[in-house]
Amino acid sequence: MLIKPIFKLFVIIQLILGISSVQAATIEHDAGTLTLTTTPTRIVVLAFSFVDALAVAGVSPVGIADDGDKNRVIKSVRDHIGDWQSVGSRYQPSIEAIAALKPDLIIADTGRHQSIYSDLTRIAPTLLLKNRGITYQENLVVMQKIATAVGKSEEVANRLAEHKKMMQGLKQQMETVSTFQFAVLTDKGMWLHTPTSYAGSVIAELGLKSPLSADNDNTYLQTSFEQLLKTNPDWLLVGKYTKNTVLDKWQKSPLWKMLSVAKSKQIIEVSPEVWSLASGMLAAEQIATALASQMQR
Amino acid sequence: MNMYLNTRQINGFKALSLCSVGLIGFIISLYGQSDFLLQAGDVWRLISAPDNNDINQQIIFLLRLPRSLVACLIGVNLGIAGALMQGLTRNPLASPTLFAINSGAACLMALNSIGFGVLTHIPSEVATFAGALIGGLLVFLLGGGLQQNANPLRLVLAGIAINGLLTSLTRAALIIADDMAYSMLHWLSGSLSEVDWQSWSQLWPVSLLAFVLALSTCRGLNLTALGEQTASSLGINVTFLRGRVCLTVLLFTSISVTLAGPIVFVGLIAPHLARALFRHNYFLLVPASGLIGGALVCWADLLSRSIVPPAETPVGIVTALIGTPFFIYLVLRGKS
Repeated sequence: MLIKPIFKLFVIIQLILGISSVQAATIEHDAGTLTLTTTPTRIVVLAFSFVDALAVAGVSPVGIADDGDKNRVIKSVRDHIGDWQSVGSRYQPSIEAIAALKPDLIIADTGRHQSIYSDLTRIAPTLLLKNRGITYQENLVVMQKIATAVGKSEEVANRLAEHKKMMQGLKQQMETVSTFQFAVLTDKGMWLHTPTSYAGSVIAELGLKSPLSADNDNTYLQTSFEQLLKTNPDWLLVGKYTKNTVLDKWQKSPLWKMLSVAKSKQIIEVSPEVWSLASGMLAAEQIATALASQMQR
Repeated sequence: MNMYLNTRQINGFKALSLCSVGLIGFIISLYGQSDFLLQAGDVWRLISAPDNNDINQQIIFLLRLPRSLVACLIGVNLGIAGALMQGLTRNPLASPTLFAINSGAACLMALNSIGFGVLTHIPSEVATFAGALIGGLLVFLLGGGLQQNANPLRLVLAGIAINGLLTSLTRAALIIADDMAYSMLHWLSGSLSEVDWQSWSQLWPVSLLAFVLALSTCRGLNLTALGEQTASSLGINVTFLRGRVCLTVLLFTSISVTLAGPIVFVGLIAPHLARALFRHNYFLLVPASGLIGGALVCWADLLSRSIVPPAETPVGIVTALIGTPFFIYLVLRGKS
């Protein structure tokens, strides 16, 4: 008769012991300091670079604001995590869907979710970290913060060391004379990603030159054909969001042949998800590898 | 010699001044604000000694010239459309925006961009033009355009309602496709940065047709200004006139919004300036509104390139910045 309650008590004691054995994690984030007494296991993330950070830590999120499309999480990240529930768009995630997942940690983007931060903290402890407009270096810091929160700082530190070695190795293979430019294309226009953007900062990290002048403080620069002619990069990497883009039109113009990339054929189509949306460490590795393989062509 | 000029001479002088203001803007916009340091001399050489291998000349001919031409003609279109709208509704605050043409175009363009249903399979220009027509026709039908003696106020109310509906749909589309929003927002503010010779060849035939239609409504509008009943008794079929005016406005605005996005306030300002200069005769008012609209957009486009170079500020924002104080001035003047 007494066995059941005693068993229950035993379990509870074990749980308490188990919990107390985990060190409390304290993380500085954009809305102050967050102290976690337990290691979170049910994590909801509201931006893609945080998914990348969790994948590096080897932790699967239960929910992602993936805009309702699982393919928006790039494959190299998807391969490292298990299945997840969509919690709506990054711009306006569903508070209800997040609450239904009963998370014990939410990671939100300072740029997009500042206004719903207090709602999120009522559901679970929430980290507010930078995602929108993040650079390569900034992301490495954010990634380590997330690693601390999920109790994987050591693993991530090791992986980061490996990553830095890899980047250093790839940097050696790059030629540093030519200029490199990544641009996003739609049927409405072309946007150059400057060195303060994610792809731009990865390109800079690899020691590659940008064709843009340094006094440019835009992250994304909308570019007319005339400005592209002036910018005239030696390599142009384009990520197309729509099937037809303004580039199709420009290529028909007699002025197209004035571009260096038209003569050298150094215009390469890349995945906008990897180069622009993902903005994580794994994405950076993919960008760097892609650039290195182009060099060796 | 006669010291006093007659009305015809004064009007001619005014028209000439307007033309030169527009022409100066047009020429400056051919070479101004360029990373290539284009100069007026390049424009001159393009005319006097064309050279296919000169990059400056090629840029002016292939990129600048179509852009300036399209800017001017869109200004002309919007200016005339505004004059017709104000004549039709007999409301000085009416403008082509009222017809939900802009919001209809924006709505279908946004839905097309995010890949909504069947809209994915048609080119975005076609979707945009269809949206403009649908928005305009909805307002026209709801506003009692086919009824006799319909109150102009009904058209205004229908416009507000349809505008609201279409705008909220557009916003929903923008929220669903966050990453596309960036490029759509730029278009939604009205931008001339992507126009080329192809845009010009799509623009001028429609504009010409609409212009002929516009001229054909001038006599009717002159008489309607005296009141619809008076106009009827003078032999004007008011319902037919209203239909023709609406069709003209629809053509003018739809083609403009398809190519450059919604450029606001031109249709409001231009007819007012035209009225201040040439009084109320629509035969003068229509071309004058066109001239003023053309000059306005031409200069606004030039400004849009020089605010924060090398980035372009959408021209619609510039016209709105000019237009808003003007709108407030109109309201205040109406009060006193």
